[in-house]
Amino acid sequence: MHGFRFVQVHKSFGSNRVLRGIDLDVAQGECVLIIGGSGSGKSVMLKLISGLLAPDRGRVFVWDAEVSAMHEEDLVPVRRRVGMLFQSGALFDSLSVFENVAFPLREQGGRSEEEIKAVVEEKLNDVGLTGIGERAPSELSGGMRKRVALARTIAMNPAIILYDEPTAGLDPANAKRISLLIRNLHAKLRCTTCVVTHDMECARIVGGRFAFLAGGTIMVEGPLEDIEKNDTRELRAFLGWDGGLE
Amino acid sequence: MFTRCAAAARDASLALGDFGMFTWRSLKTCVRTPPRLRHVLDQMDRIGVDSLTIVNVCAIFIGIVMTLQTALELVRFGAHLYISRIVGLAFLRELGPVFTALMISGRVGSGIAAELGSMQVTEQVDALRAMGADPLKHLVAPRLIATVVMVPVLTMLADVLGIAAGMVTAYVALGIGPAQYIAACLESMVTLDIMSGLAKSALFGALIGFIATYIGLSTERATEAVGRSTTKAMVACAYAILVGDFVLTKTFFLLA
Repeated sequence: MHGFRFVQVHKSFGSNRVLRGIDLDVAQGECVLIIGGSGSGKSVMLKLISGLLAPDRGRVFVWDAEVSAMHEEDLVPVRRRVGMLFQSGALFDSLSVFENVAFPLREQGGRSEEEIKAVVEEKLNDVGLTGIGERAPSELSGGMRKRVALARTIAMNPAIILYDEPTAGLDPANAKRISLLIRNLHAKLRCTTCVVTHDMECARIVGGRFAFLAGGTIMVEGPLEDIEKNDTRELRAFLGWDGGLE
Repeated sequence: MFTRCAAAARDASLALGDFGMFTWRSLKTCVRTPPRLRHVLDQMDRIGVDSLTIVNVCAIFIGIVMTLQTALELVRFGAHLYISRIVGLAFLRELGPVFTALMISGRVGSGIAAELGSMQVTEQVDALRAMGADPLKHLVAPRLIATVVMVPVLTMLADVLGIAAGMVTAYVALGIGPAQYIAACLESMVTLDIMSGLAKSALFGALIGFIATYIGLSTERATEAVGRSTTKAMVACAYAILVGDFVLTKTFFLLA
C-alpha cells in the first residue's frame, strides 16, 4: 500500500522553479529521508503532501487520495491522519503546552476532557517532557519546544508523520535527542515517516531510504550506503566531499 | 507609465476580489461553524475592555474642546443654549462612532494584523491548517465578532462620556445648568440619530475586523513584512472608516 506518492510534480514560486518533475513513491510504514541543500524544495514537498501547497503540474497522492486535486474542506480528514512537525515547531504562543498538545484532539472532537488529559500526558511522556503542561511555549528552550511540537504532532496517532528540518537550530545534544526520538517513534508507531533535513548526522541516526533532492529533481535515491558511494557532483558537493571548501 | 498604471490597477482589482472572497468565506464560517464562546470573550476582553482608557480619554477631551469651540461662536449670538444640541448630535452621529473606530483601528486593527502576521511568519497558521483546523474559524471569526460587538459598545460609552464632559465644561465655563443642558440635548435627539450612530459603529467594527485579519493573514514570510502589515492595516482601516462614514451618512440622510 502507498503511504504517499509524487507523480511528475512541478512547483514554481514566481520565476523560481523549485520542483521540476518529482517522482517519489513511499510505502505505508516506510521511513524516507529527503536530503538536499537549503532552498532545494524539500519543505515544499512536505507542504504538498499535507495539501498546504498545490503543485503547478503533476499529482500528489496520500494513500489513494489525490490531495493535489482536493479542496480545503476535503483535505480535513486526510490532514487529521497526517501529522507535520514544522521547522520552527509552530507552537501556538497564546496557548499553554497542555493546550497546544490538546488542540488537535479538541479540534477533532468526540473525546471527554479526562480522555484528552490522559492522551496529552501520555504524548508528553513519550517525548520525555512530563509536568510542563502549564508552562507557556515562550518559557521553553528550543529543544523542548520541538519536543512539545512533536507531542502535538503525534497526539492524533497519525498514519504519516512529516518532519521539516527537525534538528534545525538545535545544539548537537538536542539534535541527537530529537533524531533518536524520531527513530523510536517510527519503530513504535509503525507509521510512514518522512524527514526533510540537511543534517546528515540526524539522517544517519533516523535511517531509512534516502532521496537526494537537487536541481528540482530527486537525483539519487537509496539506502545510506548507496548515497555515500554515489559520485554525483551535486551530492558530493552537498556532503562537502568535493573539496570545494578547501 | 501606462503599463505601470495598468499593472497597479490589475493588482488592486485582484486584491479587492481576493478580499471580497475572504469576507464572504469569513461570514459563512461565522454562521456555519461559529467559534467557541470562550475565544470570542477573550477577544472581546482584549479588543473592548483593554481599549476603554484610550477611547474614554479621547471622548472626554473631544467633548471638552468641542464645547469650548462651539461656545466661543454661539455665545456671541446669545445662542449658548444650543451648545448641548450641537455637541450631543455631533457625538451621536459622527464624533462618537468615527473617533472610537479610528482609535480602535489604531490600537486593535494594527495589533490584530501584527499578531496574525507573526503567526503567519512562524508557520502557526500553516500548523493550524495542517491539523485540519480552519484559520477562519479560529483566528478570523472570534476577532470579527468581537470588533462588531465591542466597537458599538465603546461608541455608546464614548457618546455618554463626551456629552457628559461637554456638560461639565458648559457648567464651569458658561454657567449652563446640567438639567438645562441635558433637557436641550435630549430634545434635539431622535431615535434615528442613536440608531445611525450605532449602525455606523457596527459597520466600522466589521471593517476593522475584516481588513485587519485579511492583511494579517496575507503577510509574507519575512520579519519586516509584519511591520509592513501593521502599518498597512492601520492605514487601510482609517481609509475604510472615512469612506464608510461618508457612504452611511449619505444613506441615512436619504432615509431621513
